[in-house]
Amino acid sequence: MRNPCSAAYGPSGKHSSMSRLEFEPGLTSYRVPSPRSPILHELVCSRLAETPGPAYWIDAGNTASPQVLYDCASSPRVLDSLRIARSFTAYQHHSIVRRMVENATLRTSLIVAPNVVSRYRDDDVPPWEREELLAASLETLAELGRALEIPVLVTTSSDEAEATVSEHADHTVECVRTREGVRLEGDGAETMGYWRGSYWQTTIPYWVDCCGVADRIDPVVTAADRGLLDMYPEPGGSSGEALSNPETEVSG
Amino acid sequence: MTDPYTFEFEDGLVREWNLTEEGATFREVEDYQPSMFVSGSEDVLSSLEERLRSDPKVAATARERWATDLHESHVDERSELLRVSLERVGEVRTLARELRGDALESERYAPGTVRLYDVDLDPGFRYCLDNGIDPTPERGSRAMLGPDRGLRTLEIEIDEPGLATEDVSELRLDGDLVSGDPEDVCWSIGRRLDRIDPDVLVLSHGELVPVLESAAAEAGLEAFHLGRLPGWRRVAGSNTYESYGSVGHSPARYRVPGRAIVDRSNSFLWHQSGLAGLLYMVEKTGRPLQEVAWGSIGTLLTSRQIRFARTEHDVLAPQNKWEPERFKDVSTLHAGDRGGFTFSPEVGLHEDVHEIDFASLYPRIICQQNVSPETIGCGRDHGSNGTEPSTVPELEYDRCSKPGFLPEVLTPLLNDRSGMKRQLESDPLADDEARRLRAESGAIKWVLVSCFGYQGYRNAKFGRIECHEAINAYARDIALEAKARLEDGGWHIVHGIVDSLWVTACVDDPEPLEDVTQDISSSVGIELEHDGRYEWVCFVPLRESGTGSGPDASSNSRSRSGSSPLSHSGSAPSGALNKYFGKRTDGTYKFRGIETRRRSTPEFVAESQREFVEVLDGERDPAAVCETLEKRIGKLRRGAVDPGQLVHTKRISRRLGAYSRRTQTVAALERYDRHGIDRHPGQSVEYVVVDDDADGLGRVRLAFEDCSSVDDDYYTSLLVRACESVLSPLGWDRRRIREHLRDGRTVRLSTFTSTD
Repeated sequence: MRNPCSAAYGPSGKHSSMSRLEFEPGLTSYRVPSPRSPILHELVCSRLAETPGPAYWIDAGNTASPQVLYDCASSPRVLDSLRIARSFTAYQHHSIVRRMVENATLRTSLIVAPNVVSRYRDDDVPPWEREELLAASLETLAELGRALEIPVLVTTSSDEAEATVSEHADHTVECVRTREGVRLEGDGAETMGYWRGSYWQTTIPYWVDCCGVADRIDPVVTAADRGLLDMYPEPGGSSGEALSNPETEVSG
Repeated sequence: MTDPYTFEFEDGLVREWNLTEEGATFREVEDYQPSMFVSGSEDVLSSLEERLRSDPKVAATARERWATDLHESHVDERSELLRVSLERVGEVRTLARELRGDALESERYAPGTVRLYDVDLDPGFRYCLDNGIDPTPERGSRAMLGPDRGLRTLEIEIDEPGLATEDVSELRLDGDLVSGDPEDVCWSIGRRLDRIDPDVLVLSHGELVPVLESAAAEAGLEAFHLGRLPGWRRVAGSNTYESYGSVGHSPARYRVPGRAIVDRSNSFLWHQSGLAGLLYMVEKTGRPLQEVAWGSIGTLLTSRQIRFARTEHDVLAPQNKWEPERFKDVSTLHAGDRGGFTFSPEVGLHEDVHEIDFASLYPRIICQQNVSPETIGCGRDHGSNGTEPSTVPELEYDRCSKPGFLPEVLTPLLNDRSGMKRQLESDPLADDEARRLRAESGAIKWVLVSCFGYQGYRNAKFGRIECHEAINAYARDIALEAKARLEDGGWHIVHGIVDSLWVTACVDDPEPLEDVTQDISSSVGIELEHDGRYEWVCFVPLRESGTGSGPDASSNSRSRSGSSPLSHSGSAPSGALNKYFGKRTDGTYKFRGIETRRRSTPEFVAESQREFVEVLDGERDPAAVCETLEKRIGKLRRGAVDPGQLVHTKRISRRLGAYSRRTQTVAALERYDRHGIDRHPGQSVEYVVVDDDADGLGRVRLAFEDCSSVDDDYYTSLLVRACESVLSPLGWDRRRIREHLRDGRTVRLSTFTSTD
């Protein structure tokens, strides 16, 4: 279950020299900071750039913003192999999952389902039905991943959803927002992606840009990381000021 | 004799009421068996059928061939479904739930492989649909009928505090005040009911049914009953719901024998178009009057669709929306996601502006382009002989030319509406007839307005997101074509939202606007109508876009369109799409989106804002408007404004305990609570602000409470805000207005002493 990958995951295309995240076959549950977190878009673009074959995106909650995808892709052509279907009800979500059974093949490079739980929590799904329907969807996705040996990524953004999904997932990854930026932690212990050393200079502004997370990222931390300071500042200390324009604050 | 118009369902028995010359008579039907349908694989249906035979709720089962969706009907296919007939109408949902639960628990079939149809139809509508009944009420011959089609009504009103304490000592009957002991009041109502024998009870609140019935029972008035027979029923509990992002509240619903109830607190359409509008919708939807009255516009449109789908296309109403969007690539998604076309308004005052409108743009596009769930992405053209289907502009979707479902649903409404408009414009009509036409046309308008948005609504039974996108794509195409043609003719678009364009001449000698619009109309096939001509129109900037406030924001600069000496200059702020005001050439004003149009705005502020606009019109000088503001503030501070004119009306979105911040609304809710008045999310609170800095109950007084003084500073700031909306197109923001009041003013004694 443990993901042995310890290399850093870097934004695809833009910094191709970085090591890449291994996409494990099977169902991987990503805990993301917010429902529309662009971390997923980035992961998907990274996969699309490297792997031929069609990829499928089962959308919920309008996460599949074409604009964010275009922004994350190194070139629009990267997105050519991506197919998206949006669900607006739990029933539609489940139907798309079932449709995947017909569409997916050994050639499929990736299946993603952001906010995989959310539609099943809508008011119009009766309580007695929602868990069964959700379980059926998750089981189908997990089975697809195992049978075809393809990566299936789902995201959650609450503890409750994460707990539900992890029962079905082969791997879990937490996207932790730390003072250093966003870190991907596999199965609760292993650090799958982590930015350090020279990666800092580019990844901080990148993630700030991507996530709009300006707090906690701090030029002093950056300086410390680059070896210009030999200790971290006190919590809540020196800076307090959020970076409003990371490009100017963190220059290479 | 006409068909029955109101129905009761009691213990497996249906009571149908027919209107007669004198009143109404009823007939009891014992053998009505409502049905629902199940689709699934053969073995699923067989095992279900087997099991249902022993279910006491089930009267019979049968196999029938129906289309399970519009596309199946479109390509002339049918599926074999299991029909399950029930003993009682109230048990349809119970059985549906059991079936779905069983299907889920069973390992044999996956969820979604067993689907249910005709589950959630309202009982009266279902009954009429099953029996081919047209429940449109009529008394007497059609030619003799007024807008209310011979129906007799009685209106009973109670105020909020009375309802909360179930105190019926003061009511209004058809507007007349009736007061006294509950016994006297109930007796008066009883007498009125006997005398009028109404077919329709128009109640200020549905809750009046239990309140009056129990008051009469307590008073020992045994003969009192609101219905044509004794007894009443609660047919639905109250309910708070969320729709399109806002919270609504629907109160409990009641039924009395032989009379349709219109609950004014729960009838959108009643407020829009009265009984005549309701009756028109009865005719067009097949829902009985009482179910039309409480139905939302979406519910009414759905009913019309369900009836049409069943009777014309052999398609049943699916219980849930299982059919998802098809997989599409990112560029198609991007193109489809673009929404309607808007021309960003040019902030400022523009002179001599024409407003031109595409009449019923979206529904016309649906009808003209044959946009329907089964025609978009059909894959083949069934309309002509095997030719390639045409495609939707910018999108990859193909479109079949065989006449579609949605156009068939909408065309009669469009035709009715344009017929009514023509009649209203040309023929000399009796007042009654004109009133009926206006009410009916108003009712249609709401359905037409919502039919497009409804296609994208997640729970729309016959909606499809691709239709929504296709309609938008056609609309963008049309807007661009219109723009090009207008510019060719020497006209400049200063603002445009979807179907309305505001244009001014941008050359000295433009082509006559009428010629240009006629050209566009015939080219796109949708009438581009001249809606109005304005002496001037102001487009208001977005509040946060920060209008200039320094001396640079001169009131003498010229706007980009060059049409006015009074337009805002500098870095052009973005205009709010739906905030503008202007003066028509007939001297009347039009306001959109600014305070005076908002329900929550106190009347004094609304009226002040209208005065600001009038002064702006007369003087064309921000300083003169500020002077009016000053007078208004003076009047407020002198205590010369009746607190009734300062009442805020706000819709609440949560229950009292669910608010985390202590707002005015919370203070008002606490006061209602203290009076024992229940306020649900979706209902309104009405209050006056007496001390905005106070923390608790003391912050506000309710509209019906005594109020000796109000918070002058608070209301002053509202006046300044209202003034800002009027002056911001000219580059004056709140700060500049306040500065002007403090420093730059020409203080005159009259400012403080004049009385209106």
